[in-house]
Amino acid sequence: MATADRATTAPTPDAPTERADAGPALLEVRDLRVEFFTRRGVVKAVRDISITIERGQVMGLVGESGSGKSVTAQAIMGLTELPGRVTGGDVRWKGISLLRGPKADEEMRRVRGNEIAMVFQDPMTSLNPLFTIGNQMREVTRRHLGYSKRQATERAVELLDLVGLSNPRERLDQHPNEFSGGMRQRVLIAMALSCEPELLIADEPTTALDVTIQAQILELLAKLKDEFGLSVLLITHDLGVVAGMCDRVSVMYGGRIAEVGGADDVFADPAHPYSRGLLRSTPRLDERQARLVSIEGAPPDLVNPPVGCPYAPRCLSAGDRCREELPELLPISERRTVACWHPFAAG
Amino acid sequence: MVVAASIVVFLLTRLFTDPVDFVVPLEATEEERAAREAELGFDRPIIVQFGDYIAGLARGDFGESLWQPGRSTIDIIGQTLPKTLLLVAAGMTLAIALALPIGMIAAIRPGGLLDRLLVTLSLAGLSMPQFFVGLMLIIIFAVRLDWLPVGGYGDPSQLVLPAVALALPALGRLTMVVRSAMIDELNSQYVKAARAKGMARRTVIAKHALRNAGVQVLTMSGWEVTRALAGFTVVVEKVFAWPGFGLFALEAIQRRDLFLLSTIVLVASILVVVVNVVVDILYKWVDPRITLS
Repeated sequence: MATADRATTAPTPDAPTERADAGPALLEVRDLRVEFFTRRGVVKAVRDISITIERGQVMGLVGESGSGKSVTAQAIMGLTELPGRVTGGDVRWKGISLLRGPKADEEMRRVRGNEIAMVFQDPMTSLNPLFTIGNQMREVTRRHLGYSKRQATERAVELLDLVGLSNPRERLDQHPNEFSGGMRQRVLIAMALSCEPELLIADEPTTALDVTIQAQILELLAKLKDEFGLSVLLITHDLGVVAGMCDRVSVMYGGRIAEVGGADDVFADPAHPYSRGLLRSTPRLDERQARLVSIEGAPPDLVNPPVGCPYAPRCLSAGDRCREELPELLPISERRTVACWHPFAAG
Repeated sequence: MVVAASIVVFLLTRLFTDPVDFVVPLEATEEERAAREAELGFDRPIIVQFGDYIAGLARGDFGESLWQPGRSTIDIIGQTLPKTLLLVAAGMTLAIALALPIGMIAAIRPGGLLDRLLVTLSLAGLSMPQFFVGLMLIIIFAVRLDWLPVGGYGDPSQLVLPAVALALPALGRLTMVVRSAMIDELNSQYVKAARAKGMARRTVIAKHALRNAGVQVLTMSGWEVTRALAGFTVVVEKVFAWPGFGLFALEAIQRRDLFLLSTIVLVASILVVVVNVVVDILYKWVDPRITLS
């Protein structure tokens, strides 16, 4: 497997100027492989994927359920749960490995929740129901920044105010059940921002919310991103969200990355047949579209993934080579890398 | 509940036994018998006897023991109940204090070697009845090793074996409850979210998950305490000759001391109610969402 070479030689296509300073990327996921050891067999949930996020960048990670998006996020946070295990690759934070080497564990403990923070899909269950919001918020700054209880309280008030909750001081003594879903997600975002992280991983942060609340939360995320120069890894299956917020987008399919490029470019002109199918199955407001086109077939069985391109069985333009040989993620233009033997021409 | 329990016991004992047989000497004549019966009031209709009993209770008169004439039954309870409470407190403290850490350790890696070992031990513990555990403890620690006394009451060393006998089956059951509750909680989303905040695994287990598991554990602990108070102590006290009110309940039954038995049942049911009230109050303390009505 020539994966190691590819990851280092593949250019980060749309950020040549940022790369010029030659410092390590903020987050670099290299050939990450995560497998779940189940009774049914080894589920190869994530297969040698690489993602690079630069400072201040918002990267969208899209794909359908089971494509490996959340597993990737959890692996980055070092929270892969049994029976899952990271079986290959590396996660580097500012050039330092969070997975391998003698100092990796210590580094991960220092970074997690501090420099890298995470917001989850379901705000209703992500807060501990038995502790007050204040208690759960103070925990973070007390652990990472060594704040006293009073300092931590002040910080929590500041943060709740920042995410737009009224009466923040009174809110601290309330329990999660006194908050609505949207308010809880605000609390969770506030909590994630406690230590002024440099990267926020948002795993489908709006999926469980009402549409109007979704818009508010996305607006909040966009505001925070601009205000703090936050980098964001935004995991979603909602392409509209990606189009609105992301600089770049990685499309995942069957545990592999199908396509990476500037968000606008990929939307305007998807190069991978899967990206194209995904777009055509998404309703749009700005275009007349007779009807939505669904992608025929089912996602691949990740216990016995196809030898060739994982998308080949559903792909309309698949040939023999697609079924026999796994396509590498390679640049097809300056701003686009695609893992496909027959990519659509992209600018 | 207390009222229901006292009515049932009153009716059952009055309807199906004749206590006079036990109080009068074997060679007593019919007349002597009748006289004694009249003296104790057993010749009156049941309903009158019951009214009399309730009226007595209202005055704070629990009746006089038949077995130990001249002693008020409540006096006997006053003497024996503290000993039972001591035994139950020791046994249940032991069971709960050990079940929490053992259950938590087992839950950290469900299906792991340690987990399977602890589950096997718990199953062994909960499968053994108290009398068997008690006898085994006596054989091993009192007879063979001669470390501890066989039974009796007075010296703290005499508390050890009965408390352990009372604790072991409860420990097995509670460990399983703690384990399964913790496994549920450790798989929950808020645990994952707390880990993502950077909380240490230990903090997450001991703070976040444990408190959430607490409600279930509390329910089962309360149940264990009531079962111990109103049941298992009878067996354990008999095995270890521990002079608590369980042992006296047995005596009362054997000697047809209806007044003593009624009072014991009455006190036991009050205790069960008290334990349940305490558990309800603790619920509120563990889970602020619960409102006491």
